[in-house]
Amino acid sequence: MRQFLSDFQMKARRGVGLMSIALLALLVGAIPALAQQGSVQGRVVDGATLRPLNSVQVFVQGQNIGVITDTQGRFRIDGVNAGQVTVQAQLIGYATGSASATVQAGGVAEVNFELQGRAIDLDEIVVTGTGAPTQRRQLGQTINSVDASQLEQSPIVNVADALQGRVPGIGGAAMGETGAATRITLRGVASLNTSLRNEPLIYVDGIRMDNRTQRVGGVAENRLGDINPADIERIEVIKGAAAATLFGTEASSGVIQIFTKRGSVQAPVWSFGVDQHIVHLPHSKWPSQAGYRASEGRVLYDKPAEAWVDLGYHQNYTMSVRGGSQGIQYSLSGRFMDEDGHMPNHATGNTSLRSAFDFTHTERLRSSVDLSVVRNNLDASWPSWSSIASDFLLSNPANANERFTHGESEMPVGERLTMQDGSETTNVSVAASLAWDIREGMLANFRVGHNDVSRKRTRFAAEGDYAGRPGVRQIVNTSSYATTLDASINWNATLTDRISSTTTAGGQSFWEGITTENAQKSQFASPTLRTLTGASTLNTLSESQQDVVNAGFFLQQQLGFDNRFFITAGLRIDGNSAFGEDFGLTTYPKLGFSWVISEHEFFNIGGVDELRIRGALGSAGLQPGAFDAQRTWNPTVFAGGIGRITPDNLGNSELQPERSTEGEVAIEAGLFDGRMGFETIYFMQQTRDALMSVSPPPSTGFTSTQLRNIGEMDSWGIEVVGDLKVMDSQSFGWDFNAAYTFLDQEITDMGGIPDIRIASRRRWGWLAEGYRPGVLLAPKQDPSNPYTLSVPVENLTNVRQILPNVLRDADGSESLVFHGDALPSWTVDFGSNFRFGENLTVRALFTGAGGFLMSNETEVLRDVITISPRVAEMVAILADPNSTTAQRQAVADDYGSKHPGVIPSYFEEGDYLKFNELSVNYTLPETFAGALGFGRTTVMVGARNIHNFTKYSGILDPQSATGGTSLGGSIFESNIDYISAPTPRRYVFSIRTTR
Amino acid sequence: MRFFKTKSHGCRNGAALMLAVFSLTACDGLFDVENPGSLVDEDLETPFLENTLATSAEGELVDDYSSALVNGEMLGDHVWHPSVQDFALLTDAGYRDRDNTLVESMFNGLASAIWVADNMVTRLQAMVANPGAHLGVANSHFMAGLARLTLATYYENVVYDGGGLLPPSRAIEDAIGNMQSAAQVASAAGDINLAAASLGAAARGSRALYYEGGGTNASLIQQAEALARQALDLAPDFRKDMRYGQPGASNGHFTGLSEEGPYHRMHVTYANRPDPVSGVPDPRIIHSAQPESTPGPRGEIRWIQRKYTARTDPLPASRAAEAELIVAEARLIAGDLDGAVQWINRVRAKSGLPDFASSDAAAIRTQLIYERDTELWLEGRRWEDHRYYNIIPVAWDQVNIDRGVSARWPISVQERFNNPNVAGGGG
Repeated sequence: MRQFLSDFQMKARRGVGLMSIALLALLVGAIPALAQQGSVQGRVVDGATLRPLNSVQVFVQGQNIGVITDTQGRFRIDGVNAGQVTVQAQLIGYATGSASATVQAGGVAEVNFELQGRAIDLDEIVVTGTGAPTQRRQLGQTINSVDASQLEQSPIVNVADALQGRVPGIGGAAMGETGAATRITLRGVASLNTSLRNEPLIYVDGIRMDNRTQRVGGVAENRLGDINPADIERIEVIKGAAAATLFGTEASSGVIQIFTKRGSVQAPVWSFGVDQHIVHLPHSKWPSQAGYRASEGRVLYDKPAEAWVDLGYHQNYTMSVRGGSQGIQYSLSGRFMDEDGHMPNHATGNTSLRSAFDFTHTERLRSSVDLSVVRNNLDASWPSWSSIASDFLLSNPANANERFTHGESEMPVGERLTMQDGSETTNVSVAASLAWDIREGMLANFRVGHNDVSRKRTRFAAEGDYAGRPGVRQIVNTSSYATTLDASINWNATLTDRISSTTTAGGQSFWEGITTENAQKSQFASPTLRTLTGASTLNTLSESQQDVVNAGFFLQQQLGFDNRFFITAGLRIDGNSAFGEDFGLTTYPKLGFSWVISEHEFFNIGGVDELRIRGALGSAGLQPGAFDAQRTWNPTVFAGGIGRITPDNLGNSELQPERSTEGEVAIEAGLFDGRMGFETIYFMQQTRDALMSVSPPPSTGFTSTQLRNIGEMDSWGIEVVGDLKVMDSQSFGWDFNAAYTFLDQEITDMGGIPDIRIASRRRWGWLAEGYRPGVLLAPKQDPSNPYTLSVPVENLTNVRQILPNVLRDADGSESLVFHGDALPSWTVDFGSNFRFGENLTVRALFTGAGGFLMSNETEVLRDVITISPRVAEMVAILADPNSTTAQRQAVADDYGSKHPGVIPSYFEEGDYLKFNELSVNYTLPETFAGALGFGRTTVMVGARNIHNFTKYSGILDPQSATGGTSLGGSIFESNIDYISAPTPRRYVFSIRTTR
Repeated sequence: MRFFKTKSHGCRNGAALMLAVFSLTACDGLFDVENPGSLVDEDLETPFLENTLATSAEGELVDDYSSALVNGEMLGDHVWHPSVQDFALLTDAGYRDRDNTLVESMFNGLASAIWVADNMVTRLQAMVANPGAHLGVANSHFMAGLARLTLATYYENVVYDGGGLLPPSRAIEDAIGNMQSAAQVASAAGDINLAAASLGAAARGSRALYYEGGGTNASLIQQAEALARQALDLAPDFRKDMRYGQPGASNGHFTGLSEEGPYHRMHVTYANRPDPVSGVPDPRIIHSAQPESTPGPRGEIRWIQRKYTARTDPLPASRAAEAELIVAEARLIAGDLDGAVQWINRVRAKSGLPDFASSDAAAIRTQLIYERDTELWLEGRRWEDHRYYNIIPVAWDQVNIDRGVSARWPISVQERFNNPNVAGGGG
């Protein structure tokens, strides 16, 4: 059985390929036009303003055919079976329109829609976590969706940008380096384990995507960044266990599913897009450095960043064609992106191709084949941007010499820039699906998909590295895959004329894994050589492999009463290769209800159009690491080829997934004829069997930590979302939306183990019972007596004679005092859209968060080495023999009250409000665009990351600290600002056109 | 391939599809994945691994032995602490500084090494045909004993395999047992050097027990003498080195990547130290010809040791000179002053030093202490000698002096908090 997986993996890849070919062959069998058909055509407009509505889905009920309206709101559906048909029109933000028409064979029936705006859209179809496509009205759980129409008019670069400010309570933002990824959190952290994935699962069109974080230099990248935003039709986000139950193990941090644009039955529609960005890091972000004054001939680093940080340039070109006939609908799209970074040595590029084919073979059988190929590259400094930054942020003129002309801390910046790191990644996804209407109301779906990521990371230092090795080259090849196998059957039945039933059953299997080969050599025979072969000394040569298999099935039953009250019960059962040998399968139950009160006859509250109460309760899991359950020994070869083994992982045969159980209740209301909507959600979550890293007693041989299911954490929070259509007329529209979330989390049980200090010794984040994860329990300077002088004040000549006093326990040890939390407790997002006439819109988006502390370690270091202007000035005063005692006392008071020997004295509030996006979209008049040969053409001028309103004084963007990817450390250390990369501002110019 | 077969032959309808997936979840072995980078317990039973198991105990111990040795030399004034740039290392550091990773990790490493060595003995005994005459078994016994002796030297308590706290004397007794087993098996396997080194180390243990018990139980020092004599009878110049470290790493404490390692600065009093008999610098103290050009932060003159010059230089674990000095010491305690002098001179002669002569017990004791200090310089014996002879190292600060030379470090926090059999353990 040991060979099973590797065999399977290889064959699965081949199998997926074969399946794709087989399905492509089915293309031949796609149905030709059937006899006795006619067409439906018409126009869709806004019921209030009579503006034509673009991108409305119009489809013939029961016939699985549909199209999207054009820019004039027009549509035409061919191949409609003759007879009485019901045509529906759907667009987010509007109530679904429905109309009957009689189609004559060979005739064209005319159907027009005036859609009414709705603040809450109960008829929107959602898919993620529901078992089968389901109207929102039927669901008890929260699903957030973001659709293309919002994204196309916004200055976004990637998927994470698309979610920020649009999904309430989302955490995380990329660090400021070019190409940096975002670590997304939903409703806080689900797991206390710092080494496990505390991020949502990512699905693209139902297929799981590998999304592990990998590094280039100090830059974290993940594959979410590979997705072309122009391909996105819709994003669905489910945040916690209550909604993610059907995803089972691994889903406790939520799920993000991206749906890409697909073809529809219409003539080919070509789209082109051009985006040009200027990326700019304002110099004001960088602190000044003492001692670099023009009079000393050291102007270069007076504002150090000016020498090294410049404008970056981003260009992005997209093209797509979508269309189709009755038998085949297609979507082909491509992208070329290139960004020359705003930091030296940093750049990224992306070339992608995506195709999606949908086939209708018979009235009952449909299939699809998707293929996506992305080539991504990311270049960065080696070892990291922070190293360069520390060389200029921490350089001390007092140490300047011939080589270190500015007294750089470790390596002259010019030399550092000769060290480069880069990755080239090929990300291939292939997927095939079959949908079979077994009989009326019964649909079977089968889906197989495979995502394969090959990445080559190359580090090269032609002139040597910081360790003094002359010429170093390293190649790290990783190959990771995620294979999805998914089958489900969905049966809709009408039990009585008032009661409907939907039964869903299905199963899923995932195979995920990664192999790594790593080689590093140094000592090149000649500086012109650039391959490993040319180097003489072998430093590293290693290989690793890791696979995880998960399989499970689910069953869900929903009953609907009068289409306004629904109850749902479901169960997911999972097995996983990472579970311990003595642990078998695990089950995750769910329950939900939804009650659309406003559709009862008795409901009559003035101004309230729609009112719904819903609730859900469910569990999901988080699996341990691939081999955490196994007891392993590490083999090593030592001098003279002698082997030895050493205890490696203690293992835990009873290891099981961490379980999160979440309950939520919500009330949604649409008010004043769709002018206003609000939703309030209360949720609470319990994490049980939390995976904690426990240190075994070393006397048992194994010294590395063991994962045990012993921890417990409770969370609760609220999410309040509202939107308001202030004005909506033909000439002017103004709407406003806002969301506020609050989250409280507490570790209620550490399973009897002592509190865990996260990360290294001078940092103070803890996992401690009774506190939020990551809580800052740290020494504190004694407020009543913050410092002691080692000499009388009149003799004070050096800041080192000022010693900090910290609060102490009775036994003399330093007290650990609660300072605050590392992760935010609240977030706020708000935005406003203004429309002037038909063609001009202005959109603004703000995001904010608070309730957490930043640790300004950069400033600690600068104060320690006395190069910050504040401390440099003090040093100068103390060194000056003419300084008075009063001046020396003032220095003692100032330095002593915020002493760099006590890092917590540099904790600062991280609360911020960021002006995140501003965009002006102008749609060219049709006559003008038409004269140029184009259809709808929109020009956008915008900016992103415009201004941060915050009291925080450090260089790290506090938004990056809300779960970002700083340090490569755990999520609980995101708030540490240690020579971080500030987030640049981005000025955006875009043109999109169709024809 | 199982799934695709199922599909191609059996998927006639949606229900069959479902069944296929259901059967996947149930099928045995689906959740087996390979872990080709590690060995699991059952792999260790493969006879193929016999040679690997035989060297694993030594490999497990060597780094922590080296670390313990250099720390003993710091406590005992032989070397200068590299980070505080001083000659003092707080003996109570483990109590006061929650971040004292060195004291913590050394305990963890040594405690783990005891377990690994015992485990390797058990595994090899079950695996090989002749465990009573197998060098791997002998070597593992030796390492089990050496790890126990080393742990007992520095720590207040010893813990085996997640058990309760034991006093250091218990570990020393067990170590003597390990060493005697090692000697027996090594002898049967024909490795006389290892057999002698094991007996020499057992003699070290008996001498330690004698002093740990307050120097009152004469039978213990007699036992030490007997073991030392047995060792020397077997092999007069025996020497067992620790050598199975990572390439070059076994001696990484005294010698770093370059010639000079983190602990290469020696105490100034040893530089050009004259032999009390001849008056010329003792050739056993090998160091740089000149001190470093840059003095220490307080103007200290700093010399570089040259006893170890490469990372691959072996660290002695047990050798004849120590056994000879144990015999000398036992003779002195027994009142046989001539015998003591004779055995001291046997050691001195090997280094070409003139004979020492005295009939004064106190003078002979002083010379014996000097001989141990010099002959076993940088070999990890100095700290216990300070304790057993009640000598305060010259550079100690008052905090250390107040705690006294009998002070030992506490067991590690990791052991204390995670071992339910230890008071304060969470379990």
